[in-house]
Amino acid sequence: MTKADKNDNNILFQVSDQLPHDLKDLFQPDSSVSPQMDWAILDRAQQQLQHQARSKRRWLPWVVSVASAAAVVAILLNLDFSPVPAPVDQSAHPISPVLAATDIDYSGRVDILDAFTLARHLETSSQPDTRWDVNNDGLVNNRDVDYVAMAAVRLEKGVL
Amino acid sequence: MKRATITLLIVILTCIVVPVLARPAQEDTVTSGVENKKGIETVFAPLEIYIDSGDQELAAYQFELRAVSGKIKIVGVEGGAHPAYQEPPYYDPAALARDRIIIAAFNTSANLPQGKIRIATVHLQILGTETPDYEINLTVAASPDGSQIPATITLVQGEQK
Repeated sequence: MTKADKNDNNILFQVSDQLPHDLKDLFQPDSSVSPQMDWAILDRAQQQLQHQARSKRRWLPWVVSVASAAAVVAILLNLDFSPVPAPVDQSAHPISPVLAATDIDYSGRVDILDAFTLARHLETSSQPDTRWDVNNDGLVNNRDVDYVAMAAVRLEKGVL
Repeated sequence: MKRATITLLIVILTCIVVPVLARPAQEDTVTSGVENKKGIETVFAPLEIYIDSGDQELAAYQFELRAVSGKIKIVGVEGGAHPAYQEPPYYDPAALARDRIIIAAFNTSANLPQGKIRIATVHLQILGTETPDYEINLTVAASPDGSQIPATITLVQGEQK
């Protein structure tokens, strides 16, 4: 390195103390806002807020309408529109095996006389007919009588 | 996006809540002789059932009772006056709280009633002020040998409470 080069380096590092202040003044944004600008910004902000409020109010009827429509659809879906079933023509259907089993006297219907007939049978017979084990518990006893009697008074009897 | 989510939530909540609110509310618990919360006057009354089998012994009976007007609920069934039918008869428990019931009983003993006897008492809850009318149909009246016998059935409404 020559003597001349050393002198050049010294020159580069010797800057004025005023330089940072000058640079700051030069590039710092102007922070002063005029009152007119301030009012304009506030006015603009108010307009924006009112617009948002109007937008919300504009949505409200739509939300209510959609919710009401959904409610109506939900109610309609919950209602039972299935047609009332026509009375069953008992003669057109085969007798249910379960009900037929309780028709002890073969009268074609299950009533208290079936239970009465079975009760009399149990009283008079030492070996009850196993066909009358209507509750399928392997025994023919008063429980079968009760079973038949309850079948006789059942409100929804089916086809018998 | 947020607004759409809120709207969707409202719709879903409406779909859930509205059908529940649209369902008829269960009837309020009632007390005897007073109005319930809906303002419906309710009273309780027994309905005594009589069968007259004339000079024949009554070994079995079955009848169906229903209200043809007025609003009632069946709340209980009691046996009759004669020892042969003092036990509560057979009936479908599903008939309770409804206005229709099938009642039946039999007895295989030798001590059987003749003539007119009270064979059962049906306890009712009468809703409202309209006096109910009933239809009663005797489907079985049998002698000890199991054959049908001519018999008549009548009912008497007891004192309301």
